[in-house]
Amino acid sequence: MSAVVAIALTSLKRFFRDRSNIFFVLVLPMLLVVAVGLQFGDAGSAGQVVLVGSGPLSDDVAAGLEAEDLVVDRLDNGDEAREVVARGRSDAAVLIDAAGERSWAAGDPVQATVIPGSQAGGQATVATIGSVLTTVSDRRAAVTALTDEGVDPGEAERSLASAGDVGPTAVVTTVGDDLGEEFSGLGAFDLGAAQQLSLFMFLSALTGAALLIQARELGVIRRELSAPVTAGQVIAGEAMGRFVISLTQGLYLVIGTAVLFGVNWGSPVATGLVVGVFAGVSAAMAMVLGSLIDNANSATGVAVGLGLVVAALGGSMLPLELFPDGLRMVSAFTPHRWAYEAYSEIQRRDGGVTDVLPQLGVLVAMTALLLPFGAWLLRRSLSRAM
Amino acid sequence: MAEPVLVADGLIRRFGDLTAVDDVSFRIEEGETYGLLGPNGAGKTTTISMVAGLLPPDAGAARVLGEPIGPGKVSVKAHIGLVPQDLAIYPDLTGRENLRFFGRLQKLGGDELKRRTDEVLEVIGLADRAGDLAKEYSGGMKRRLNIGIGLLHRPQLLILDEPTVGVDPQSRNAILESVEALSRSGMAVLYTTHYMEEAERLCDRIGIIDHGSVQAEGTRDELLSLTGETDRVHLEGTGEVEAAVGALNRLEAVRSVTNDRRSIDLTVVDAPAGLALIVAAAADAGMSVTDVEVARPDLESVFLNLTGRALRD
Amino acid sequence: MDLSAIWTMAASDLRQRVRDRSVFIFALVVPIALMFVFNLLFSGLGSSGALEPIKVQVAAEPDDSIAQGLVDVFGSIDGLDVTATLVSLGSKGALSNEVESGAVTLGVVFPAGFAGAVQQGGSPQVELIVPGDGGLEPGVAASIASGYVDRVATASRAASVAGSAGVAPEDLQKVAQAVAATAPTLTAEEGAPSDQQLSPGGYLVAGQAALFMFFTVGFGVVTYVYEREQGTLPRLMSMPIPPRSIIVAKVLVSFILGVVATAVLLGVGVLFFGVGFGNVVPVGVIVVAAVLAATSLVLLVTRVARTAEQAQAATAMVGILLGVLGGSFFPISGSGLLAKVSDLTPTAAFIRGLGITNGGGGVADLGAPLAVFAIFALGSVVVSLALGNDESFA
Repeated sequence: MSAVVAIALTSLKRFFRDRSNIFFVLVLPMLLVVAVGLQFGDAGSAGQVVLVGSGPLSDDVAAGLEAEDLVVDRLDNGDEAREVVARGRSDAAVLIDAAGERSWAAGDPVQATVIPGSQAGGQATVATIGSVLTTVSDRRAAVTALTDEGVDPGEAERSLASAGDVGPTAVVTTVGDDLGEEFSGLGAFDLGAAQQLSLFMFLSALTGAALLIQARELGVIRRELSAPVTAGQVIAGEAMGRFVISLTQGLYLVIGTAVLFGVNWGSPVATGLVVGVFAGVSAAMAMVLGSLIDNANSATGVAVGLGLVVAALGGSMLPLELFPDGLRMVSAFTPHRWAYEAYSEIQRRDGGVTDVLPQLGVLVAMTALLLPFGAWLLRRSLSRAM
Repeated sequence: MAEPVLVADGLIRRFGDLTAVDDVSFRIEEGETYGLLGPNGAGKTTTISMVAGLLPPDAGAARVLGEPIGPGKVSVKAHIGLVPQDLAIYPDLTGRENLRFFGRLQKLGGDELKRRTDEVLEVIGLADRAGDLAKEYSGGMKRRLNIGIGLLHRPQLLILDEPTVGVDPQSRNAILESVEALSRSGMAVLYTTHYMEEAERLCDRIGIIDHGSVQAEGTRDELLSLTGETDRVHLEGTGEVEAAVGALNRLEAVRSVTNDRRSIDLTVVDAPAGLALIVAAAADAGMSVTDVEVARPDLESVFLNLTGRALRD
Repeated sequence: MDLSAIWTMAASDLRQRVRDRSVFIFALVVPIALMFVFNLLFSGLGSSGALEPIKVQVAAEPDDSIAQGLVDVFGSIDGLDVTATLVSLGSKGALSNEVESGAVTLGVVFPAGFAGAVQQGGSPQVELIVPGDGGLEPGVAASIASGYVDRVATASRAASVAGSAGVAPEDLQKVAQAVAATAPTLTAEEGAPSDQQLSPGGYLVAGQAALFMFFTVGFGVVTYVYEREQGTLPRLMSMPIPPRSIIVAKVLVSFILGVVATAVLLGVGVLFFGVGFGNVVPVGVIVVAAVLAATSLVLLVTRVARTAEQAQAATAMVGILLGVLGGSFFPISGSGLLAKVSDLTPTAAFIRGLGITNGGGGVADLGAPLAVFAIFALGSVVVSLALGNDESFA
């Protein structure tokens, strides 16, 4: 056993001796957690609207938009707004010019310009803007109708505002999986942290595969084999090495994001188990990759490429809930998807070990398939190296 | 007399507080092999960098065939073939591609490039492996390719920086032989090493360098004479030892004789030449010699004498 | 400068990079794979073009005029393919199932006695049944329905206010109807964004191309540090060529790799994702300028790094930071400070420049992005020079 541990620890030491790994393992994932958190973490936000215009109408519209949970960014310049929308920095823009404000004050109809963005969410935001404009319009119609009946306009507005409990209301019922509720239990950084956790644990183990190849190239493995250890111990040690690298990455991220961003990781035992089992799958995959490729340079490239693509397919870049159905099927073949589900269970619904047993089972099964395969491949390539 | 191929005159180079090369001067004539002998870190590679035009000296100057050499002196560099200490070859190119690449940079082209490439491949014994990537070569083959590149353009000055470090004895012998052949063909060679056997075997003149400066310079014999040491012969045997001492004292080559009951120690001029005579004289005087040991001073002892430490530590 | 020597070195470097496959993997395989994955993922978000046909079922009592009004509203909307039908209240349970299965986009339920309750100033609830997995069409339909309910509520409120303000009871209905019947006075006309924009697919391709540009150009300049480490640099310096031509050759390699890889990535976008970038000439100018800026930045990195390992790590860091900041993955939202900083990155300038060319802009319209590239290139060169002349650059 001590031989296995010695080989594993040496792997870890060599991994961190490459200083570039310190950036990729320690700094980059944190940066991405922040970036994803800032971008999507504003959970209440339904979208981002640029509003150009100043005056009572613009203020009314802005208030209406904010009441619909849209983030309103007010600008002075229509061209700038057109560009902000064009560059995908906002879902839509509403333009009310000075003439519009004057017409509104005079009681005349006003046409606001609404510019939809081409990015996802643009059209939904435009629909929301439309209903906000209608609401503002209706309220004026009500004031006008009351004024026509001899009610003082100021009085009419105040009374209308206080009569909020009169009249029908619309309530939304969702059927099937509820996305909104799905994400409601999450802090700003929780989702991103869970996604990056899997992505980087997998990536670290796979780039660790380059070390395996280097070890073969350098003849280290041959020397290990010449020491009084069995081939099985060497293979176990190399697998342990990948596992320890991945596990270190995982524990660093869990503890780091909890401390720095207050990410809720739920039950420590359940999270710990998922992290541990996921490190196992990652190590097994790394063994397969490291044995199949015989050049350390291309291994790094393949590792990074495979790591990113598998992560994307497994929900580490876009929440799994937003996947089209076909891709959701594909995602079942990635370990990330099962880890994602397990963390969802833990983070969103306070799940414990028993709640994530199915996911743990799948991950263990994946390891059970990959690890013997990787070990067999490595043994085969070692016997060729002799 | 013709211009020396290389003149180094008072070269000084500092890196920060460290003076790596401190006032080094030497010259190499056509057909001459000059050795810079010194331990690792003595300043050999820095000296070479300056005379090959890689580094500008902080003071002093080097001239190749009468022209000053330095980083910007492009045309002069065409006369130099540098074989750096590290393997300066591209592992992802074949042997032939390596040669052709550097040949082009040496302004060879067309038929001449092709002919010289083939010739050099022949000389370094890689003709049948010329199409393989250099990374697939054995250590000795890589070393030979490394040297071959430096020969391609028939330089007037070949600079070899520790070409035998980490080379197996067989390849090493091949390298030494080819240097000898090149020297016979009239090429001037600057050869650095920390192996005194190589310096003794190859070099017409040797500069002993340590701590950045040349401690002594001359032919092997001139350097040996600096130590003030002579050859020593130790005889052991039985019989008429005292009579033998008397007989040996009368020999011309013998400088001094000391003895005890069963052995005699002599200092001699040129022990190999006089050894037969010495043994015969002792036998004639009635001593039956059972063992002879000859100890000669070498460059190692010269170095020890000059610097107070061993060449390799 | 010795052009033939520069070309000899650049050609030999290119040959070696091609043999060592990693440049293909980093410059082409990984970004193309990511493009395909992202494209698959984001195409499911309904970001691309027209809405699917919308099917609304309104469950209400047969004589509920307000419910009928909603059906009419749906029928009168221009530019949307909506079918709205009134169904009996009894089929409410089935409606939920149909919404869940996707057969119906939106279900609306007006409870029994709804119209009467509204007339009496009550506040009955209209139930909007939407599928929980989101989607654009249910959102659009629900927002039309809730806008309608809002309007009914406003009318009801107006009547109630009128009642308490002493308006004659027989006129109350008139007030409510006036509100309901008034043509909207605040309407929206659809404006065009600046036409200088990329499609979502185009943005994706441009973003990935900009991100990986840094890795790709790194394969050229960083080999300078490699040469120093593997010992070939002294030999090159001993050749009868001007020392500067060595680094110039490396820059040339970076430039060629960068331009070729970026062109291939954009080309893959055009061929496989059907995105456009506009006229070839201004696009070419953007690519060349962006690669030059990236190369000079990597040159600076190389200048500072002591080992090839450091140089590669630093290049990756700079590339990823600029990529995230410049919006390679998603645009920095809003118009705040972060967005302004983002505008200054070559990554953002590249994406923006391609937006301009896609909108039909020519070379003359590329002032802003080209200025960013120029500032980056000049800044890097100036800093490089300010770092002084070490022997390797002498």
